[in-house]
Amino acid sequence: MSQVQSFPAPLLSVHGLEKTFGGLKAVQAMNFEVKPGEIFGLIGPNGAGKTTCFNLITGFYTPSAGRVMFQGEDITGRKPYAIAQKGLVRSFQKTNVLKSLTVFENILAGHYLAARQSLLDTFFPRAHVRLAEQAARDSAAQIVETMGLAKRLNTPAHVLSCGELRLLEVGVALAAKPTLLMLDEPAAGLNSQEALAFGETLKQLRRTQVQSIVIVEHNMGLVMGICDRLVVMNFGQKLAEGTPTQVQGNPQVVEAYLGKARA
Amino acid sequence: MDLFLQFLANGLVTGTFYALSALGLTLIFGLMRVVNFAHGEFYMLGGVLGWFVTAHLGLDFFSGLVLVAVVMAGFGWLVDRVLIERVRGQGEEPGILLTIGLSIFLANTALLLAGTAPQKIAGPLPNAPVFLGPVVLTEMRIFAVAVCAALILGAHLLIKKTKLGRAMRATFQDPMAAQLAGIKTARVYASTFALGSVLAASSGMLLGAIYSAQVTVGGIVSLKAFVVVILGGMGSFAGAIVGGLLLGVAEAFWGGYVSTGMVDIIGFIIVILTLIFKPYGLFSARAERA
Amino acid sequence: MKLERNSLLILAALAAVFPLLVTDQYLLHIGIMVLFYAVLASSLNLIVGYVGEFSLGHTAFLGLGAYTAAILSTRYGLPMWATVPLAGLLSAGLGSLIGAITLRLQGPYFVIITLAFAEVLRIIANNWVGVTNGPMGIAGIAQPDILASASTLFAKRFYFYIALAIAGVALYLAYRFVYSNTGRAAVTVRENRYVAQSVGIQPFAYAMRAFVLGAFLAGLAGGFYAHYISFVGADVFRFSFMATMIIMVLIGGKGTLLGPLVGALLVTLMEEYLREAQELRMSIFGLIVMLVVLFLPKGLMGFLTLRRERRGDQGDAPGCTPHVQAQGGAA
Repeated sequence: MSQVQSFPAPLLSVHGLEKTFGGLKAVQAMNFEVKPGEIFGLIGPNGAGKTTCFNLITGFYTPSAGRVMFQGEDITGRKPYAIAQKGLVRSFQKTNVLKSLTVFENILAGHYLAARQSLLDTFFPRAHVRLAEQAARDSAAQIVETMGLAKRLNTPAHVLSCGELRLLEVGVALAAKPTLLMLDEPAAGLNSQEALAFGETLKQLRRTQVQSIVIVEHNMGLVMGICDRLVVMNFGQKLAEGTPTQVQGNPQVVEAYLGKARA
Repeated sequence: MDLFLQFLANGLVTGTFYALSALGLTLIFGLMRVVNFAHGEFYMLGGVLGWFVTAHLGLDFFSGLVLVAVVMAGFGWLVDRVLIERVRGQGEEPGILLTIGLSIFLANTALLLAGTAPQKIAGPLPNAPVFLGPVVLTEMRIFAVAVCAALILGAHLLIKKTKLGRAMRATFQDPMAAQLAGIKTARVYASTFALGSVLAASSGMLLGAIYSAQVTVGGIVSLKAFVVVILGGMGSFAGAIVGGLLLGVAEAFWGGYVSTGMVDIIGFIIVILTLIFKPYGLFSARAERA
Repeated sequence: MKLERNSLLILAALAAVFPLLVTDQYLLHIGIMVLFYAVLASSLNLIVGYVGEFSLGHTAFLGLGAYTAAILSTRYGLPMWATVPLAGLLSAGLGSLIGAITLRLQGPYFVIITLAFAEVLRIIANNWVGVTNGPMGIAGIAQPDILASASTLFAKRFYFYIALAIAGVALYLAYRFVYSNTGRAAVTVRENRYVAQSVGIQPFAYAMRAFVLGAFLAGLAGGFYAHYISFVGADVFRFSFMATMIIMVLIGGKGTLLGPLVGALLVTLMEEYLREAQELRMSIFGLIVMLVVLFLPKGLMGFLTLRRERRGDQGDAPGCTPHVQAQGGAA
């Protein structure tokens, strides 16, 4: 379905997305587009529906209404793994890694798609399997390096600090070679300095590893520092959209969200 | 038609017994979420101890039952404090393995001590037949059904009406919050496990007076009790009764009309079908997993 | 990976020379049983260790394999080299059927439904007299022609090498599986279904592969058992087989390739040692299971690797607060 277009088509577009849980509208009338090359923020007070939005886009929830288009293809209601296979990969809000595996093993596991093989090749690997395997290992080592976890290469994930775990989560998502990376509160539990460094890492990723990043985050310093554009959500709906400066100047947003945060 | 009624009556009586023998598991598995594979062995201990105290210590049935209940309460308490406590909060698997180990240990130690021969427990009532129209039952069976109803009602009231019952429900719903509210959760767990053991053992002794007390009975009792608890939707006494009756009646009709050889297969087929189509039990109101 | 492969190769070499050095038929018999249980425990380990769910119905595959070989041999006169692979394939078929039903369930539900399947098969084997010969079992399963005029010592050696070959096949397949992308995907699913899906893994498909491979290997073991013992009865579905397998996997350490082998060796030797006292043996087994769960939850291999890790990686940060729950809805 992907046809060549002269204008930069949106990478991800969300039309009239809606989710109802037993009569309660958790998300409604959500519309936004993420362009190639963008770092896009999704912010809002607790319970505004940001994570629900994430789950709807990535297939962990089925939308009650609306459409999700990724690279010009309708992915509404697809299974999470099928969406990941298309190049849209997410991380989770609560710490989600493979706890008993080491840092390297975690990231290697993330390379599943690149190293996919037939059942025959599993048991009787031919040369190309070995090449793919080696490539996955090299890439994993590279990602460990990029995320600054080289010292922790062979450390089991369950002994990592919170900050390191956040990096590892992003690393696992990166390993799946996404076109669009979606991060759900990746800086939770980081101190302000760590968050700053984390933001720099994300900016680098955008240029080198992924096309665009969508980020849900409460750390306003981080969001305002790295995002090109933002959508502010409140009570499941879009409250405002624009650049960090525009959003910060919006009185509604200040009242609903930033005002409270500053008080 | 008379045959049909007789099958139905037999099925209902057996079903009540199934419900009775599954009561302890309803507490321990259904509420505490300990997948107790030693349940059948607790039942077996009730029967074997019941035989021992009546045949060897010369107690009458009811004082024997009280003594067995006290002993098994202590035993259940210990099992919880010494074994289950150590794996609490680590998911189901360690509990499963621990109770499989316990069941192997109990069954074979009992075999060493008591042998394989079935033992008859002298019941409080004769096994004289009672005629209810075309249906024949024995006094002892009717008595057991009555005791069963009393036990189920008692357990139900305990959970719903008493302080301990409230503490139990609070603890199993949210142990952290219960602890913050001042409930001694360790004690609640141990009490529940002890109560479950007492229920299992009492049913073992009661039914030992009708059938016989046998050391090797544990495995099949565990399996049927799991069938009943799963059919009943976990943790509900009313569900356990319905599950037991359903199993009993289904077996009675299958045995009566289809084949006596494969009666035991019915329970397993029912449980497989239940788990495929209604994984949370036939009567559970809980939403199914998305 | 290297360590495990080299250990496996050394074990294989040791096993290969064992029958040449030993002429005692009883010792050879124990060696054969160790190999048989090694295959069985390894196959269960694929489910317990790599699907991460506890199956109590693994005897279904062992039993089906044994009955398949017995029936093909006695009724259709197929030779052993055909019956054993067919036993494996038929068990794999049953595995994909049972897996398709049971792998949707988790925790206690999975445990009980797998157990229910094994029980259904046991009851059928006991009652379907026309096919299984009912409680009498199937006796007189044919021996390979080569053993017709051979000495009993030769026969034992022959069976030892057959068992070794099957164990070799089993461990080769298990090794390839575990150290491939496929095995990694299975481990990812076991550790965290949500992460697995977010990197593109379809959880059910990979749990299924481990499950079917486990069923296939158990079927091979069952087929071998039928020929070696020359008799199959409904007892192969019994829970005591299951208990033995579980203990082997647990003691050795689930989720490792060497663990089940170590477990098979230790438990078979212990069973033989306590042979005279059946109930006492099982009593002690029960105690061991409880002690292992409480004090050695990762088995001997887990214990060894843990020690290695501790030595290599001291003074670690206490870690982040353990939030294992994911917030995703549909799985």
